[in-house]
Amino acid sequence: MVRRVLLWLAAIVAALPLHAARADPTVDLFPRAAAGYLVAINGKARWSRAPDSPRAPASLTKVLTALVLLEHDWQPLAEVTVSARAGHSPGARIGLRAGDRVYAAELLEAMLVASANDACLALAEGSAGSAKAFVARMNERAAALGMSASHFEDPCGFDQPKQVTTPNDLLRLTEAALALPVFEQAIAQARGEVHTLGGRKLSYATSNLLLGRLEGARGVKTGQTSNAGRCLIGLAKRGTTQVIVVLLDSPDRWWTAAVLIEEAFRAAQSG
Amino acid sequence: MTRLLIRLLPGALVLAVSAAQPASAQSKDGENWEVTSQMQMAGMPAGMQMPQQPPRKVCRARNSDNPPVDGGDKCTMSDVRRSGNAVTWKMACERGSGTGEMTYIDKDNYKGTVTMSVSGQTMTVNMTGRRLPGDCDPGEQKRQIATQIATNQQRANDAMARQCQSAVDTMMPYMLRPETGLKCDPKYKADLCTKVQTPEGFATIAPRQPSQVATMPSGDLKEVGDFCGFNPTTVRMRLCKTAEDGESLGFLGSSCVGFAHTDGSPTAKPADTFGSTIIARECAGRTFSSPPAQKYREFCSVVARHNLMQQPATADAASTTTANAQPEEKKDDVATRGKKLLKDIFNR
Repeated sequence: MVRRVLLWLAAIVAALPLHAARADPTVDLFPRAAAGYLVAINGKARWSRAPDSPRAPASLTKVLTALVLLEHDWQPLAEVTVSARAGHSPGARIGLRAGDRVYAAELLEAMLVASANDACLALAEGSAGSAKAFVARMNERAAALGMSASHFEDPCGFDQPKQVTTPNDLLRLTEAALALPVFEQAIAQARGEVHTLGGRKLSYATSNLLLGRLEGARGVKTGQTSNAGRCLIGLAKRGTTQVIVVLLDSPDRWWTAAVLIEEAFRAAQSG
Repeated sequence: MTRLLIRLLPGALVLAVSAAQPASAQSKDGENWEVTSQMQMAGMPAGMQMPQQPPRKVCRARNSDNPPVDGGDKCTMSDVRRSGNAVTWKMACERGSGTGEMTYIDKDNYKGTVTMSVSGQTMTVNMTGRRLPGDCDPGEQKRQIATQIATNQQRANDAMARQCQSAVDTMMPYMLRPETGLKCDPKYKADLCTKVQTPEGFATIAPRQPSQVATMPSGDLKEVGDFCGFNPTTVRMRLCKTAEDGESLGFLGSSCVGFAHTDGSPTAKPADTFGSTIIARECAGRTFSSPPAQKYREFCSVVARHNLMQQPATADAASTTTANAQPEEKKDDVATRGKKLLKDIFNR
């Protein structure tokens, strides 16, 4: 009788759904999700691919930029003057011009929400005196966070030969940044405005398509360069469950992130 | 073994004094006896003895020669001989046999002994009997036992039926196999085999993985197919064709996407898969900011999930390097690349 019950239990365990049997964090359940990805449920890695392989981070770099800014004598109402270099930043931008003066808090939101490179560089230069000096702070902070496979050469994520990070390091970074209320509040914005002290109003919208389209999506950061491909750090919360998805070089980051997040909540629900 | 004897004997000494009475007869021509017994076993240390059993009532037919002792339904008496106040008999029980002797002290009291041999061990049960006032029905005990047996049998049958039904509900054919010891009615097998060939049943067992141990049941498609005598691929094709025709998106997503139209085999070619027409029409080419129609959203998500779980054609999808590429190139992927991205996903 006991043997029969054990066999019966074993049979039921064998029939459990696929995701329940695949809880090993090293399992790559979604091989086509991205060149490197990681899904963490409540801080614990659940599925991943190449989680420690260095890749170009693109604008995901700006999470570290924000963390360094916020932790380094952050003055939200400090006036930042946009340099010529910042005013001519390529890629995503909100339209700052050399000589514009803007409050730091507004630049920070524009950098995180719209991934604005002009705002990013203006903040980095304004905080440390130069982009190079700011990058030194970034690498110090990354090392302190234990991001041992990461190195940064540009504060805004432009491709550089040695500018690399990993899904695991980005998870660590994101969790540290999310501990800062200013960061958490900023990344969840769908749109915003920058008002230069000269009277210009610059409007922008989020680069994160998950916001407002996926239940529980709270933003974080998008990124895209030729080297990095399409990248994303996505955060979603439902009830007491928090899911963070890191995608590096994902052919279709939005659908992929949506599927992974839904799958993660399903897995969390089924234990 | 000692424990078995302890359990068996005192109760087993409810001898069938009323065996001659038909079980269905209702009469009051019996007399009540109160029997007290105490067992002794060979090999027990001196001074130790088994506890005395609580007195039991025995109804004996008034004109019977059988001794008024408690033998239960598991024992039968034979060769009952009476000589003066003494009675001797032989006794055969389910697990042993023995002899008994008793002496009437007077017409209302007796003393006696039963000696039994069970599995090589000998034990003795000393008894005293005392007649109680009043009449009784000698067949009643028999009828009570028969009722109890019938009740127990019904309970066992009910429990077995529940087990059999559970096999159907969980669609685990293992429990219906004879080697489990269950004797399930053939209707349960018929029910299970019908159920697993419905979309709901098939969708339940299709994700089950075969057991890693050959002898371990898992209730997977092959095991169920073998048990029921059908080819899972044939059933899948039939159900998927119906689901496709009727746009039963739930079943189509759960059990058909990724399986070929032609032969039901797994396929990585989107054009060959069940649901490909719907996928091409409703899912492919949709950007995330311009999602599929509400009705198809879940289905398209399932398709996307399925595609993400396929092995990539190349080991590493890393992009080529371009020096000083700019982060967040203008127009991102929504407007200019959305169509291509979704096409990539669904047409890979």
